[in-house]
Amino acid sequence: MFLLRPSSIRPAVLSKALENRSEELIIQPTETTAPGGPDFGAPIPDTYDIDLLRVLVQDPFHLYLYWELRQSTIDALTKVFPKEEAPEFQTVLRLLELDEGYESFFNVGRIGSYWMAVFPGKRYRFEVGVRSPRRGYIKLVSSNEADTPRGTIAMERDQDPRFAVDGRKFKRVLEASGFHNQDVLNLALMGGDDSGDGFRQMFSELPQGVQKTIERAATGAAIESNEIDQLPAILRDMLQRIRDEAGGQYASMALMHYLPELLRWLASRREGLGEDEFLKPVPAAPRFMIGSSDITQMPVTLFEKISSINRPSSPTGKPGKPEGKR
Amino acid sequence: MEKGLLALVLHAHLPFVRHPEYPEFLEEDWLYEAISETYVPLLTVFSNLVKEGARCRVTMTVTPTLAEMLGDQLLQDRYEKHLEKLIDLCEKEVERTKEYPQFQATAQMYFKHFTSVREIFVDRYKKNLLTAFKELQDAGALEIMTCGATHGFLPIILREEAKRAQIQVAKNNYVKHFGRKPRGIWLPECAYNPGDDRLLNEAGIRFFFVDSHSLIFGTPRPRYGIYAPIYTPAGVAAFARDIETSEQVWSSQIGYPGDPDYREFYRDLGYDGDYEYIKPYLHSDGERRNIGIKYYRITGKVDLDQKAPYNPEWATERAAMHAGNFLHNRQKQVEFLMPLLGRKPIIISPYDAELFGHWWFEGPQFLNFLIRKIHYDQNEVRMVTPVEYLEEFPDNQTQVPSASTWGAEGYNRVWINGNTDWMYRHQHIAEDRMIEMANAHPNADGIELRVLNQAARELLLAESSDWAFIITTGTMVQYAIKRFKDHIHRFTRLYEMIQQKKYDQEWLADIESRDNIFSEIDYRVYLSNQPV
Repeated sequence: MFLLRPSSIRPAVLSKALENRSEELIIQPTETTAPGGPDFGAPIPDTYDIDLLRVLVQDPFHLYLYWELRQSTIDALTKVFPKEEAPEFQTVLRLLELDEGYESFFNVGRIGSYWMAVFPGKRYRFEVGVRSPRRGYIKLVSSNEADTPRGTIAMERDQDPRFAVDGRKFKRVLEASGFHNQDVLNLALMGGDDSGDGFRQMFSELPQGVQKTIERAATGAAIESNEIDQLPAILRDMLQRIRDEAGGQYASMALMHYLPELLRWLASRREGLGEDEFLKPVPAAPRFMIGSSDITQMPVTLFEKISSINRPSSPTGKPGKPEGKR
Repeated sequence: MEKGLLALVLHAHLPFVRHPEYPEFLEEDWLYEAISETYVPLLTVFSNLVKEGARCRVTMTVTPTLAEMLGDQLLQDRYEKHLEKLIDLCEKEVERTKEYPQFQATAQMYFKHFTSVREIFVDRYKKNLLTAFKELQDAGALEIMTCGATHGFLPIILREEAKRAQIQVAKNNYVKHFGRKPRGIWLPECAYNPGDDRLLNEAGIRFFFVDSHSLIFGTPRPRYGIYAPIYTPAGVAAFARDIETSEQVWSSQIGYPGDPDYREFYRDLGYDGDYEYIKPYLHSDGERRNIGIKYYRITGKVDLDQKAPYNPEWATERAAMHAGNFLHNRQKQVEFLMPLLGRKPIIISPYDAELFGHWWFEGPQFLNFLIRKIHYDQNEVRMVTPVEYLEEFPDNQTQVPSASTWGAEGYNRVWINGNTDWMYRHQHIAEDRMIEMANAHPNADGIELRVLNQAARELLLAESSDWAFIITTGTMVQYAIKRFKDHIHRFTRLYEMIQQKKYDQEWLADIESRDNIFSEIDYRVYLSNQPV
């Protein structure tokens, strides 16, 4: 969508007609539209008194989920068990990665929302339930399924010979289409044409400590200084700086932000490219400005500390364009 | 010898903004500005080409919300008044600028422009521009597409019934305005989600557009990259945006609209003019605003107060030059691509229609020159519409395109982020409730029918992607929040009426008159089991 520029927003007031001369610039506030002062609309419900959990895809690396559980739902469940056990029940959010069966639990409140850092090309579902040491986990509500885009080219070649294209030819087609090879995380081309899960393979080749750090960061946990020390040098310095200035949670968010490049860096090393390649603007998919957290997003200003963040991310990412549209 | 094809695609869209409860309303100006600066100039270009017999093939959305506004009598009458005021001001400007020869030609240009717009809008088309669009479609110059009913962002509408409603309501509205079913759709925000193609197929849609990475990252790999469409598993053709042509026009760094000879958007008489002189042409609150009369050119990277006077002749020459450059690049592009692909490439160049004329004032002239040059000056590139292409090249690869949008970064961040995430809980619950009501009351009549139909309108209006977009871009945030909350509030009240079987007829009549979009709507479009 390209909205017409609002008539009311303009940085300068230049008085007197048609004369080229300097005037004081006056910043105009966003104006109210309806007579009678600011009006942010009619009231809408705070909650709906229903049990629900929904998940939305933002991009290959981020999901947004929100949930609401009625107190009566939780009460009804805990009444089934002996009264003294009721305090032991904790409301939890359960992440289910459906392809490989990976799961993770997060302690949450009865009503809430969460920005979750995830992996591209995966299927996820979430549940909210209760968990107690004695009774284990009991599901109360389940979400829709969310499929994250792969964010890179497919490994599959067309089975129809009229449309099958080999790796070398496809590289040329990509380049002609405006996708230079370095702009696509081309794991498939490097790892053989039609087999294997490139992301999983690359991830498994990372040192154990790095894998663990990434897994912790993906849950939104604050990563520690000693964990950062295990990461590649160029990333290490940057994350330590962010951790020192803003805390471990923001360092986690920055790490998740750079995950695609970490994988690419590994792929580049396979191809015999130097470590300098790491900070080239070559993400699997266009860059993502948002990190994971329970309710907040990474402040954009924080990313100013990251060296290549403002560079164009792909041939379609335009620098310097203020609108949401490319 | 012909070596390739070009599909020029213009997406004309504005959110539904109509406020009969106020004598004037600032955001209604979006429509008025677009009519004066974009729609009438484009229609003029295309109809002149048709008259001349030049081949013109443009694929264009007129979104249902825009079509409903163009066909609305209140807005038509208000636009006419708006235009009369502008013409009155232009007359004064022609007189006043006699003392400023550097601005005289521009003042005359505006007077001529706005009087011409009046002649076309009032005299020729009796205030209804939909007639003009339909005429051009019937003449073969335009292929008019539909869009989501209210530009609802489909990846974030989770219930299939609610997605279907966006598409089916749009289709029915298209039939109302254009007399036949739509053959193509511009998915709102160019947002494709695998599986949505089934709903398009259900609606008889034959083609849609995606961003380039949708095909490039699709499965299996696209044999022809972005230079041939693919068929989705549901059999609908998806055409991908060409990166190079997008950049030539969109880019703030190298795009044509940034040329120093073109008109500067930010120097407007609404701010430059003496206040007492300009006040009668502002809204009644008296605040200075853009009024569409601008006397300066971009000049270069200088402060606003250093801009040089606009010269219409220079700008026209520049538009012709840029059209020539654009065509030259397409000729080189197809010359390179044809041997590589072994098939004539089709280059898809989609833009927001309002870019041409409103933001890039000379944009309609650029298109005029471009289409003429393609027709008269060469035979290597031919303009086509997607339907023409598919008839000529029916044999295409089948692929599942990747989820994608044309928003910044290529996915959903522009519409779902930390500033907009609060909206979706309310939207989703309203969708659930609408489906629940439709299933529970499949044969409503009388007051119940009115309530259910109005609930469908309010839900559709709440779903407009425009509100989240405005909030993200930080322009008219308050208005966007208000609109979203008002529609959710109205929907919720209608839902409660149905639940309680207590109807406030006076209030219902009031919101029916305000949110009067889609007079033809039938809430049964939300039924889970659609009749075959």
